[in-house]
Amino acid sequence: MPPQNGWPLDRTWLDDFTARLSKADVVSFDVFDTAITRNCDAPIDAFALAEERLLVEIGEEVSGFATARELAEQDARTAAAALGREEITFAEIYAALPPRLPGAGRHLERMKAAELKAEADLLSGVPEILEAVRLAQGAGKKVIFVSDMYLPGGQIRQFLENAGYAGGGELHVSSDTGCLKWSGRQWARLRERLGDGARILHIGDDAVADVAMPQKHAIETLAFTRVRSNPRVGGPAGPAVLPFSRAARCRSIRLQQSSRQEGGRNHSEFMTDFGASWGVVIVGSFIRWLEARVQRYGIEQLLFLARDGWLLQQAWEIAGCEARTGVCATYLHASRRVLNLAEAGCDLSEQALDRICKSYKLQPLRTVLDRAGLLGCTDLVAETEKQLGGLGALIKSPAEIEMLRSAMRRHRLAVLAAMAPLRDATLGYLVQQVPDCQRLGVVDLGWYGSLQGSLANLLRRLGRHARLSGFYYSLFPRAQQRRTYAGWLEGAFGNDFIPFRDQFGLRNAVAILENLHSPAEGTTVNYRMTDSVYTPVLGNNAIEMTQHARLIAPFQRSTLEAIDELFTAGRIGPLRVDELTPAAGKAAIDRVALSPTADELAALGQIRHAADFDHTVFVPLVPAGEWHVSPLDTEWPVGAALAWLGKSHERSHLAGSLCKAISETDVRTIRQFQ
Amino acid sequence: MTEDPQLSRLKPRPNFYPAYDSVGDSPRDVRPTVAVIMRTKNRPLLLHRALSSVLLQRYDAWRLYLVNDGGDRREIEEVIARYDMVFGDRLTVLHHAESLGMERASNAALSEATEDLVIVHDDDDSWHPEFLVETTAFLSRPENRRYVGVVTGCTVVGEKIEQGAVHETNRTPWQGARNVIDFRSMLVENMFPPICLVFRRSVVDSIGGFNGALPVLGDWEFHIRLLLLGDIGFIDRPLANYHHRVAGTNSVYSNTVIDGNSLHVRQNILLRNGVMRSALQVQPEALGLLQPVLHALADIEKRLERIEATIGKSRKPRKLRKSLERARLWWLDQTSKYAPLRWGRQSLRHFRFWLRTRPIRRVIARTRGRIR
Repeated sequence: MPPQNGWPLDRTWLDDFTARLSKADVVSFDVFDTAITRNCDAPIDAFALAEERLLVEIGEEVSGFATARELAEQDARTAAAALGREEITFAEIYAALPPRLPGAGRHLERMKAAELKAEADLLSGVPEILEAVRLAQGAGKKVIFVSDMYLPGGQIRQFLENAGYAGGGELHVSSDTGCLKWSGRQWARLRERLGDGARILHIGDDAVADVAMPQKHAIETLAFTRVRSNPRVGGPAGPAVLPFSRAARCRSIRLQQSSRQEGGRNHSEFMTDFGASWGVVIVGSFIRWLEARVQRYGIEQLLFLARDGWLLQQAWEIAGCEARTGVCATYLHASRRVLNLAEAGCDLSEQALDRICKSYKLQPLRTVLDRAGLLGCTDLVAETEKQLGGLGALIKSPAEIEMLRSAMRRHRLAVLAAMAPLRDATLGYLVQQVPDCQRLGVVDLGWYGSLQGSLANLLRRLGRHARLSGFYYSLFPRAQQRRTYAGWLEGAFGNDFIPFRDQFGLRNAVAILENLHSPAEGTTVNYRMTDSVYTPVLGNNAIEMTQHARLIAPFQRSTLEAIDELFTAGRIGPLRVDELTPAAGKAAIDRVALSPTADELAALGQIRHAADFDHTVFVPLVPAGEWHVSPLDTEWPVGAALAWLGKSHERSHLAGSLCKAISETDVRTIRQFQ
Repeated sequence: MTEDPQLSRLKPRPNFYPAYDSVGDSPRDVRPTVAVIMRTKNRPLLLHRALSSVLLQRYDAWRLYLVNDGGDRREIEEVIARYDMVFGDRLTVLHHAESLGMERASNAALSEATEDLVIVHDDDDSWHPEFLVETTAFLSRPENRRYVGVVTGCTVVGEKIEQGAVHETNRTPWQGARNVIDFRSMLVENMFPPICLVFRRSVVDSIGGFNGALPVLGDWEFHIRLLLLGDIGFIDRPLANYHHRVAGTNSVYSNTVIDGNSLHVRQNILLRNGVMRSALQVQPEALGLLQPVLHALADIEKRLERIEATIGKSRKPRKLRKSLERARLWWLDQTSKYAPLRWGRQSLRHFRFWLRTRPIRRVIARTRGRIR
């Protein structure tokens, strides 16, 4: 992203600056994220770029450089603070690196050079500030640059010159002076140097270091936040995140410009940009992986399962995969509700009873019986009501679930008769919609393969002997149980042989992904025959429809537009189609799920999700925090915990509970709560 | 590069470290090929999982040698037919009309395999998708040439089979190997299950294959022979899963280590007897040293049992504390009596005496004119 090309200048800010310029003798500029900025989502991505290059240059032994480099900086800061020093140097950081990255000792000089090269390649001048410097110099004002940075002054001056600040003024860098802007000592030093009478105007992005602290030393300030990068202090770091990082940076600068000019953006507009950066990386990387798998396995037909498969099917067609592979895609109106219940209606096996009786969230007896169409079984209802204390009683304990199962076993014939209409309609719909071929692909987001298992059993019952292959975002360990009968199961971003704790990012993203991939329709609750054709009966509801129009549709539209452009032209902005790998997709998911920005948290956190297949209870992904509710009980644990952290009385409780639960995940994510 | 003959003369003999110098013996390139040996017999329920575990490896330069050791041939063919598009040409199936036993089944596959590295993947175990990425990378590094193989950390997965499905009951970290494999510990018990180990194919030329005479514990015996040749490295990541069905399964789905526990105990004794017999045949005079040491250990064992019994009987905490204190003192005493530190303690006594008498010795030396 060369900023100068097509970068619309923020004239409002420049006018503000010009108005203040006349009252200043000296104009001071912050350096990073003000005068110059990195063309990536977060500062740590510069280390990721260095790691990418070092991996090619040196090999696998430098894997993990980005994280280790960041930790080494923390170590060096801790050591310096113990000696009463405020700032550290580049050399001190690298001296602290070998304990964090075994084997690094041999390559320290190459690593230093790679980091500086990565910074140089990512940094570019910010047009508003370049213009502001020009205006200040033209007005005869003294221009200086002030930075809190571990890099030596000479290096920063080089960056500034490369970015177009040739012949710029004095440079005050904390690694040279030992004083920080953030603590105020750098400003005291500057005030002393320029004299009490000097009128100074400072431009910077940080609310403390660039605004509050200089004001304490009688320095006028003007905030410039357009190019402020996201801190992203959590989530994994590494080269895989670079495609998303570049795409997100490109969009976020545009977003910040627009929000300034238009007086703030609403969540719909945010979701549009989110689709063009996050959506395109995830969906695009999955579609490329899917296309390769379909060709390798000789799949004849693809079934995209409702509802999460909707966006993927659209992307498959728009990306031209159907034309390239010759594999047709069908959107199958299927849901856990109809497939699981239709399968249960065939034999009422123990597994089927499990699916009927167990719920993800606590449900009352009425809901459990109603969703299976069993409220009409009077004897069963009367018996369970008596045993469990009424239709409103919540099914909580394993003993209560077992009680319900036993009752259903006792009333087996009545239960099967009640489920027969749904079973027959489902089988009829499958005969009509599923092509009779040998190698059938099933596409869905994940996570336990239960839909594929039910589909495989129902197709066998219909005498179809197609070999099913399921292609998913990921599968969680319990999916292993389905491998004996469901067919082949594979995930692009993870699979059931990866422990749950290692899929923490995906676990956090489940509800986000499911909602963002669904169409503007309710879940399939049954099928009806009209003119000898089965059509799905959808359980539409107002919550889902409203939320889709406001948040999800803008995301899906921009994702598909970006997919179209990317797969047609080979690139879109800084993103190349060949960069879209499963690793890139997973890194993008992990980053947003484990370390969201304030905008992401606000927009995604309000999505309301129904976890159970009855779709009766909708809860926001980030609900209002109660002191006794653990974030781990929410649909987006990390998101909820981060949103609740601001409430100080809950902070320690939340931090404790979450840290304990995620103690095996990556150090960066844990750090957000310590 | 030929070695300087002068330096060559200085090479330690016998060479204790490193024991295995495999220069020119390590995988030829950075992507070594791996032979995965899997033995199975009428366990389709578990076989699906095991095959998927191999097929989902992120490292794909492997070939699976599936040995049907006397099981239903048609059943196996039906299972593998479901995965043929995923396997491509990376599968060799060997059918034995009658069961030859686990170790002979492994040898049948081993004799076919030509890959650089070998691993035995039991049909009930599983791997993390990065298992082969990590192990092949470890054995490919030049500095790791001295290792004859490598093991990873392991998770013991408890499970039960109900209504035709496998249900996980618990997961615990494997408590055996936590570092480079200690030969001494390996002589006492097997430090890791086979699912954790990748070894170099070339070692088979030196130590042979698996011992077909052993009905169980063939893996332990093989690991001991492997350690006779060189060290086994360790990767501290739990990348292997050792699956245990709960005791009492008593079917084709049983673990030999669980339901065949008594068989394991007997075979353990027989194997140790064999190892000791083999050593004593070469060096019979070692018996003179071995017998008193073993006698002393047996004596310690008896006393410990007595103390444990006393602690078990004592109800009052004060009495228990006293018993424990007594046991601790007794143990310290026994340790000092039997441990090799005895020599060190005696030497220390001489040194202390030498220090104490130094002033007197200085006076004597001065009178004799040896020092001023």
